[in-house]
Amino acid sequence: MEKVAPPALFQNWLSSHIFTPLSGGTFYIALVGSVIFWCLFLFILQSLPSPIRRRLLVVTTFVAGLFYSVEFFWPAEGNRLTGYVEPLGVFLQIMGGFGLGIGIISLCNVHGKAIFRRQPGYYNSIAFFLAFVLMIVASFWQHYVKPDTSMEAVAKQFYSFMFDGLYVPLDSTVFSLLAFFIVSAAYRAFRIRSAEASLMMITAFIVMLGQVPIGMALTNWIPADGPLAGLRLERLTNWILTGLNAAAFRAIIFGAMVGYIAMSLRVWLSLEKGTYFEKEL
Amino acid sequence: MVDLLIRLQHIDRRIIYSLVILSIGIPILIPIDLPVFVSPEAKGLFEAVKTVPEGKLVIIAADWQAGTQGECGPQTRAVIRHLFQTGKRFAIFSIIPIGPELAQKIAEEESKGLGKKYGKDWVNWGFKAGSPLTTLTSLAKNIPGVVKTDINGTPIEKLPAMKNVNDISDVGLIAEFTGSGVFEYYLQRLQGVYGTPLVQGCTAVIAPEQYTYLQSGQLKGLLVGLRGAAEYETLSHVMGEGRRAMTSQSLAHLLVMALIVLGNIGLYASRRRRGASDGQR
Amino acid sequence: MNDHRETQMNQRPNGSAKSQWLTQLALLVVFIGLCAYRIHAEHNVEVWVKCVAALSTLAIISFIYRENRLYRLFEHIFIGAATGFLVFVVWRDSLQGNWWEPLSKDGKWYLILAPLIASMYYTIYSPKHAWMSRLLIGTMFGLYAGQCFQNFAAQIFPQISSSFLPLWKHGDMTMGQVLNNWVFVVTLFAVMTYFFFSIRHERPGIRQTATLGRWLLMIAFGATFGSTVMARFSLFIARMQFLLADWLHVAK
Repeated sequence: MEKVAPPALFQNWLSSHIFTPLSGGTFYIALVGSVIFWCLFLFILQSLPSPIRRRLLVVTTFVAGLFYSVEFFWPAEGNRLTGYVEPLGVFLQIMGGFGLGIGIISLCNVHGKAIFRRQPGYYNSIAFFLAFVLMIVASFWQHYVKPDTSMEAVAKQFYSFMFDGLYVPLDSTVFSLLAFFIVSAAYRAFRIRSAEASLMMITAFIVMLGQVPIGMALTNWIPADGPLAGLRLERLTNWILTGLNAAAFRAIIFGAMVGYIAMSLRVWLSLEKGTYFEKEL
Repeated sequence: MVDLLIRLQHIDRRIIYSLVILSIGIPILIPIDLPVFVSPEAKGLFEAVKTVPEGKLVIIAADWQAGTQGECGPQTRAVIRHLFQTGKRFAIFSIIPIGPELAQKIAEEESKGLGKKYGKDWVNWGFKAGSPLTTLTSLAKNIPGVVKTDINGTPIEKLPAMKNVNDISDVGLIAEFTGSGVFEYYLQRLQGVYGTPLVQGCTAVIAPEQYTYLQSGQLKGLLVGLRGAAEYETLSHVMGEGRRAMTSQSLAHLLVMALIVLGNIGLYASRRRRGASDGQR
Repeated sequence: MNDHRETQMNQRPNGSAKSQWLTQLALLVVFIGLCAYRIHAEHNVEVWVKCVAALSTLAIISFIYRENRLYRLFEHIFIGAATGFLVFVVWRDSLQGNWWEPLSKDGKWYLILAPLIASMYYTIYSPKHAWMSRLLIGTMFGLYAGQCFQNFAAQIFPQISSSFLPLWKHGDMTMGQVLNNWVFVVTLFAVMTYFFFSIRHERPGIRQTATLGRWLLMIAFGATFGSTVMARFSLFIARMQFLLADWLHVAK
């Protein structure tokens, strides 16, 4: 079932001589050997002087970017890089999964310090750790519990308690608070002090009315197939959104995408300046 | 009288919040079914789902969190229900961690009434960590290679719904539901490269930016917020969450408009008072 | 005047401490009463879960009245639950099938390189070795930057080609379509001129076009505001539907 892409440059040689599945003792030797090799590699990296480190960073950034750009510009027929796209994507996905720990360590650091130093409200940090551990336990338990056993129902109910009882309603409600804040903000801040603000408000009112049935009801009396049908609120709203609004946002997107290309080129060619990029290596 | 008008711009926020709760709660307690105007973009999405070629898979990209469940949930439910009704198999996938879990619950609820079975009528590929761009790039070339197992740990090739699904050419439609800016990834890596039809259900916040893609034909259809779900339910002749919420939505919009008008009346009254007192001096 | 009163409201209890406690106790009794009523009506686990969900919902909503301890507690529970769920879902959907099983069952030893390379991220915690994390992050930046050409082409080229709309009647086009095309093209051109900062906007012709662009942008922002209001309310409507229909069963 698995469709195999045309072999990329050296792909066949690499998969038959180096990246080939092993079993038994050779498998464990390969594993241990990889770990030792990687430790050695990091040791050598660490011993490099600062100018070499900077050059290495520039080279690796450039070569990494070269892969996808060359793969794109090279015609599909005879493209010797396309075969690496899928294994690279899977590899990066796995790396992304292992990179998750950074965020978790940061959170645990912050809340751990709060508990250790008995900062005000440290019991909230205890609640954080409790919820974190219980969620992991509940999730893994319901995933790995043996089916058709008495523990399966308990595991699923525990998971339901954590997921449907806590996580989902908390996530939904935090976002739903915005309804109150937008009303309050619109009431206090939306003041018409210029002609442009009037235009903005009129458009906002038309769009707000045109997107709900009450707006339809207000202009229901205009014949749907007459010459003034375009003045019906729902149609006027649709025209504003698909015409004027679409054109304005297209212009914004053009500018944003030109900026995206420029920024990408600066990063790819290591031309970007700033606190992070100029930090000592 | 002028004092009263000036005080209109200082209404206590507790009163405003109570009005918000009442304007949304009362229509839920006393439901009224109001007619919904079906926009051309919602019709476009409906037709796109209806005309998915026989034997092709539909990808439901549930890129939404519990925080946007109020909008993306009913949209996803309406489309999944339609897919079940038309007998089109689909795969749930996401680049947001919680998306597949929430969409799976929706699919399980909808499948009960229609006698659909997991594995045969739909599958869940789960969440893929790492860079969405590289994940989608490799997914397009080799789906089973990237999605090795489903969320239950079953190898993908053992699921009947995944029969003859090897790469993006076996996908008839991508229906992406999101509240964040991840839509561009599907455009850049799938629709833009392979021409796979793409439709979207999005929150109303990001909807204005999406109309430009409708105009260019990159998007075949668009559902905007809860209104979009109501439109799709109208087309499917179903009384769902979207349609039930339209009365609450209407009253809430009227409330916001009324408050903005009152605030501006208060502003003008205070300006007149200031102008009058400056004149007296 | 209103802001001052609100500030005072947030800083000290509303009325005496005793009345505050009584109010909180009354709310708790009402909540427990409602839960008891629901549990009595339906004897299953789901109703308990719904009661917990209702408590979570009301705890967060209490923030609109005033910052309080219950809200803070549930906020931290939310962060903990979200992080824990993320760990599970990354293992289940990305690592188990793509890494662990091929490594342990299929003998693909080379997959051990993925966590080894990813370990460079964690060197950020050591000041002496932190530069290695920059090496990995730089490589990632390079990979993403290299994709920019294809991303740009795939996203923008169709946008550019579809911007060239017919501006006079031909074929079976209606006058309405011609007018719409003019509106679209003029709006696009005017807004692009507004954002084009390489030419001074004081020049005649450019100034008027940029001003028109600014006015048309106001229409776009008004539409955005209207849509945003709709979005925010939709999220709260869902919570109210849960509380009134799913939890209390007083609505359909």
